[in-house]
Amino acid sequence: MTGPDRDSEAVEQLRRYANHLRSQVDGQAALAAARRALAARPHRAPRRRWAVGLAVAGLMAVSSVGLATVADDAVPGDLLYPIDRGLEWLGDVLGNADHIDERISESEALAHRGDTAAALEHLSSSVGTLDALDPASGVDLSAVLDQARSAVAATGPAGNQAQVEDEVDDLVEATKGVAEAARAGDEEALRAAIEAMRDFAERVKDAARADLPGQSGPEDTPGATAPGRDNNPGVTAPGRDNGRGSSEADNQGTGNNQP
Amino acid sequence: MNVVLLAIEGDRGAMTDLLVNGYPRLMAFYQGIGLPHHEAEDLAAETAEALVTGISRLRAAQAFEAWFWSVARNRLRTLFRRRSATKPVEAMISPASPEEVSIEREEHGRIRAAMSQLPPKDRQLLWLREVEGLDYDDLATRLGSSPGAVRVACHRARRRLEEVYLAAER
Repeated sequence: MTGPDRDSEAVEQLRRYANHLRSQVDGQAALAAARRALAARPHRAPRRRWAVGLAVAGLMAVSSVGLATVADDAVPGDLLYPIDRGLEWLGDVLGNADHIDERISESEALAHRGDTAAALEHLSSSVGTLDALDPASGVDLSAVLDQARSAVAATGPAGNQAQVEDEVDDLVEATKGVAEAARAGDEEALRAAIEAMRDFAERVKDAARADLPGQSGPEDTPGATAPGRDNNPGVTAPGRDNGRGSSEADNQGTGNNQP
Repeated sequence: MNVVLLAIEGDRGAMTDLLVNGYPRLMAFYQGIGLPHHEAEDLAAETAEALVTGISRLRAAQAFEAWFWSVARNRLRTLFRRRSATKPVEAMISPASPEEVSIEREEHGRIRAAMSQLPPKDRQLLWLREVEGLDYDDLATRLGSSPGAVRVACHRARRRLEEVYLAAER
């Protein structure tokens, strides 16, 4: 067993090492890096957040009361179930229901139990109507989740299961980001969160695929099988590649702003 | 007014200050978890750009630190993902090379060698918790986990580090 003094020595050394590494970057280099970053990406002022509200209002306008009444009692498997979910979602966006949170937590619980396939299934059923809320990116979230789901279904018995679970966890987390952003009416954050979801779905696919022998060749480049996506996020797609960070920031911000 | 708030509102000077302060920490993080210097530099530059792009969406100034690291970690994951077609994730961060193991005499050689024996996720957790001082709640939010689970993971990572660090002494 290791004693308390010994315990802290490694951590102590780690901190010393960190200080050493930081000191290797002089002020001039840091300033140059800062300037390059500012030149590469224009530093924008915050945008107004009304687009999502408009989209939601539009959706509410087209969903008829009669349909809502019929769909309200739908259970999984019914044809109307997705509509039921959709209405719950809209209700949630307008701030009066927490069905989406419930479903996300259920998905989360499934993922934590290691049942990644069921988690994705559940998640998929809960976010089917999100597409309509993303006015600009045109991302088909259902397709994203379908891809992730079939990838998990194809996962081998051993190998990367832990990694798949990890990625599914993140996917669930990103879905929370979508819910938060939509609730806050922040269109830009919503788009970023949705991009983050797609990003994680891709990684779920990558992780699942890594299990399968003979399928990790060059044709397996992440993103190569995703329709409508560039293969090199972060290089060619300014503004979307930090989606996760932003969505989480918005998550947190929302948490702080709403009691 | 708080420098983060100024940056959120589009003040370029404030953003520059944040980056000048953050860049060395990013470089240390990326190198500390095992990336070679040139890759750390590329990634730190990408992270800085992502921070510039994303800061306007940050709603609470006190969330800056946690957000900063979530962007950093996200960039790292994107790097892993980009390369996952050709290499397994575990191989992306250089394992303990014979040189690293043999440079015990170098001042930081032993801790570097110890870190290099940990899984990538443990290295990140340890760095963010023990070096950058993020609390369990922040880590949990960033990692999509519960504070309890993160606490356990941090303790485990720390124990592993201590074990390999001590083993190197013998």
